[in-house]
Amino acid sequence: MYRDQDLDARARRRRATGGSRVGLVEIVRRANAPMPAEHSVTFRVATAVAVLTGILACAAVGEVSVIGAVLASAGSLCGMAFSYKTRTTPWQWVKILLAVAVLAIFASFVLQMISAAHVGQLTSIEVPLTGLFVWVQVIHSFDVPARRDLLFSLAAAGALLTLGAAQAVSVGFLAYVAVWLGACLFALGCSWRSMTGGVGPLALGSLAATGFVIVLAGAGFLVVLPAPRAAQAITLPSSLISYLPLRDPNGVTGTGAESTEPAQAGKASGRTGIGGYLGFASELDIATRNTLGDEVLMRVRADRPGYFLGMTYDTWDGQNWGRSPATGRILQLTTGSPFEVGSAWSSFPELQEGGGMIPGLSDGELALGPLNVQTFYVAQPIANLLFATPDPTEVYFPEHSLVLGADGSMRATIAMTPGTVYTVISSDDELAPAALARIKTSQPGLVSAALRQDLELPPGRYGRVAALARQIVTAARATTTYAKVTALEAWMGAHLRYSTDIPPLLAGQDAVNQFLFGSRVGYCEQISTALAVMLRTLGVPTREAIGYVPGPFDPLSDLYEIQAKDAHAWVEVWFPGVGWQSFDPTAQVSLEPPDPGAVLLSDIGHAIGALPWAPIGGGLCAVATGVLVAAGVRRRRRRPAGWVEKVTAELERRGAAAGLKRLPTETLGEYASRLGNLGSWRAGPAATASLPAATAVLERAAYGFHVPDAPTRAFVEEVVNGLHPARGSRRPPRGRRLTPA
Amino acid sequence: MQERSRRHVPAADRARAPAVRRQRVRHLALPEHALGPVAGSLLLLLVWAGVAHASGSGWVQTVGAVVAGLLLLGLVAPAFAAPGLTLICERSPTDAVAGSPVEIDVVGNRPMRCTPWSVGGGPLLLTGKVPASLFIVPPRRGVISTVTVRVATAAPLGLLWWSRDQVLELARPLYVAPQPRERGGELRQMLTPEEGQGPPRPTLTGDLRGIRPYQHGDGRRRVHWHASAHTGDLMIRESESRQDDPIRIVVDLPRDLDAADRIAEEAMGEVVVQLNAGRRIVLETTEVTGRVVTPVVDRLSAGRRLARSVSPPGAR
Repeated sequence: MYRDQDLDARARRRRATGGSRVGLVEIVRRANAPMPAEHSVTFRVATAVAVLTGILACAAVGEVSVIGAVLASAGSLCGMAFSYKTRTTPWQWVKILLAVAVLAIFASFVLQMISAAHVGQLTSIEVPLTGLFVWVQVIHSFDVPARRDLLFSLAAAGALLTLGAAQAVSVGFLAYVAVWLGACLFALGCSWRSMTGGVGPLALGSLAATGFVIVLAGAGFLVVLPAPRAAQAITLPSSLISYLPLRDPNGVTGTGAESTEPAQAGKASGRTGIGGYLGFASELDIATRNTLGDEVLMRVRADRPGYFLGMTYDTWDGQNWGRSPATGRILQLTTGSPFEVGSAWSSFPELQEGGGMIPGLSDGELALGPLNVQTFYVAQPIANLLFATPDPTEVYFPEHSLVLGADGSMRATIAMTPGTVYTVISSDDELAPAALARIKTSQPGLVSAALRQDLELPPGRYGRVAALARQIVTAARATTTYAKVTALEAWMGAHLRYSTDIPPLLAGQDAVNQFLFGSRVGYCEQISTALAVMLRTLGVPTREAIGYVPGPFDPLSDLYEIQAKDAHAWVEVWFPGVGWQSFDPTAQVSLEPPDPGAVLLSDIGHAIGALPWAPIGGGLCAVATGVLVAAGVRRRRRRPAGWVEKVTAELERRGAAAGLKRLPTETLGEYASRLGNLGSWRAGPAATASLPAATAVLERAAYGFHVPDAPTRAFVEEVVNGLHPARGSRRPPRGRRLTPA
Repeated sequence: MQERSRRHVPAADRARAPAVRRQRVRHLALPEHALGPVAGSLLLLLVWAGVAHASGSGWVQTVGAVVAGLLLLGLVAPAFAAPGLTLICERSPTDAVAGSPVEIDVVGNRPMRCTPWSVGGGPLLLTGKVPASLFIVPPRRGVISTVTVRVATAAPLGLLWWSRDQVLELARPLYVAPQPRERGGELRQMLTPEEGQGPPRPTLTGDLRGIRPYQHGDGRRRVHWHASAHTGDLMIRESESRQDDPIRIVVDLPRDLDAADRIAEEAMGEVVVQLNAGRRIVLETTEVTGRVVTPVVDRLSAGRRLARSVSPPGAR
């Protein structure tokens, strides 16, 4: 008697390969050998759904035209049907035609690439590349007779989805990912069933559980993996959907009836502004405010989110911020994208840092950090301002000209319509507080002429404000500009309240006086204006800056969604030798890029925390108590029966439930045979297919002194527990299942 | 029974006792040919991560994370499904010949692929609990009660197979007879005698073979009176001689398995030759219970005897 033989794995492998080494040619030949035809219709349908999802995803982000998507979808479906029809006898001449078609499409792609691609701009080949993928997939769908070909189509559908994802900026893309994942899971489940014979129903419950685990694992990967950053991109995106020249190419557009109209000073009535915001015009009336909406104006992918500056104001008349003729000066760049704006700012002396070394600062403290790359995806018509963090150095905008303003703004000469994409690289010359704290305030008389406007105030209005400012900085013993700013911010934080519901400003009333000595309630514009005015009374040049702060972060798309309500105003303070530095007395906005995983976990935590835990806890306690009580009752009822007796009793019980009781004179084998012939089982003949084997094990265990091992016991129990009477017949009572011995 | 001849099968390499070489049964589920799928998946995810970071797109990263989850589950989930695989033998034959396929009926609890591992045989794909026929090829003679089968699954996505060994208990012991072999000769002709052309049934010494006319010197006791009365002449009865006595084949197996198999095959070949020649055979073997000397009347019984035979105590 023997049990085993000395057939090692290597000999088996050699035997499997015919006893000889397999060369590369042979491997290739085997890989290309015809595979058995795949007969599963559901497998093909699921694969077709995955492919269609990929095509539609590309169409949704504009990489494939609508007509192209419709044609490709129809062609893919026809190809799948054709492949199914000819799966057993593929037509060879069709293969030749498909090969010719693939070559033609590839040649077309090369021609498009040569004609459309620009040096250094890979984005220009994305659309032809997507078209190549789509049409190759359509052609391939005409020749997918076997399982391997269908799996290749699934992978190709994933590639199409990825091409779409590269341009996706909306959370709506999640629907395509979900549909694609579901179709892939279903197709792979069908593939596995086909691999093992292709009979029986598909275990949808198991597939659903698998999908749930996959989503969990994917979320885990998303949490763990470092997020892609805009600066890591090979190519910096910039594109236009439409081209609408402005009526005044050098001005700022508002949101009137047409996006090409020049901007007008915001008023509470008449127009609504961009998302309700009345800024981004020649004047900013801080006494009026519309309700800001939450519609998404732009989506931004930025290495370091910060204050996205739109424009600044330097003149203040007590209610309105305006722009002096000096800051109204412009410089038009016509070099084409990318625009080297870093060197162009030198044309505006008021924007220069003053030159020379800064006393008390080392070279290391003045060293700039890594560049901040920001890509803006315009979702709603906005002003023709190119928003960016401070000190932009390079702008990727697909237009031949760009206007730079002396106020630090960048303006397009065309309307910023939805679909416009541009990228700005900024140096973010913001010094650390410790460095700023060592810079002394310039004497008012020594301020350059270009900055005089940034110190002017309406005469005779702000004596009380100046006294208050002096009192605050004196109390704080602030001698430097930074110390003065922080002292004033601290005072404002302690004495002012934030609210968008502000009292109306009476005619002739000064907004700052009314705010500081009256209501002391306001929002960013009142707060920042008050700080700017107080600093001007102390001889510190300031100006009002408006723009946007980063909105909610979407960890799936790695984008900040700038909503209309994210419009913001803050103060820029002049530091000698450094330049303009931003201060936000209104609110603290995180300047650190949030980690997508942390945001996701935080959202999940908030969602879990928002659950009604009291009733859930009560329900869980009740269920646990019930389970414990039931377990106790079962333990008391359990009689000291062996495994064979228990399984036999369970078999008899299920047979009786199906309407077939065991006769007293009947052996277990005879009874199992009658059960097998009963035919009223929910799972059909498969339910009793293994019953003879299980019964044989029981009989051997009962009468043959044979002790089955654990897997065999589990198998027998699984067979017995799988006996469910068909619908309409009697069912076994619930709550009693075999427990492992 | 009169012993007339004794043909001894020489044991070229005598050994002590039969050694059963046990192959380790791997209960731990391990992946099969994992290099390709794992390397391919890693390469795919690397490319995906590269595209995600080169494009700076969070959605590519999200899709890549989902694909990574799908691949991870597809590659690892069978490891959790493999321990739950159970295979049971429903029916198996009693007799087989070494090197020839044997069909056994098996049934599994879920879709799987099973491959005979301790014996030869090809893989079989099982669909759920539907019984199927598994062909095993016992390479050696002997008595098999269990077969190690490598069960594998790639559930639920079919991306990577994970396998483990399961000791499959046969429904009944399988007697594997040695393949008959004649030393230096061909047995093909003797192994397949055509029907109706076989040799006469063997007789015992003293059995009546026929009658002949009386010759001078024949004994009176050998006169067949009935035939003489019938023919009118004296007829003499002829009996079987000692040349038709059973052949005694002694099989002493050495301990070495290969040598023992070779001797058993030659013994089986001799048995087949003699059976086809119509001779009676007494087979002398050593079994676990001791020395067994009994006649064999057909190939089946001879095969079972040789399947059970072991090397005698003290054999080298």
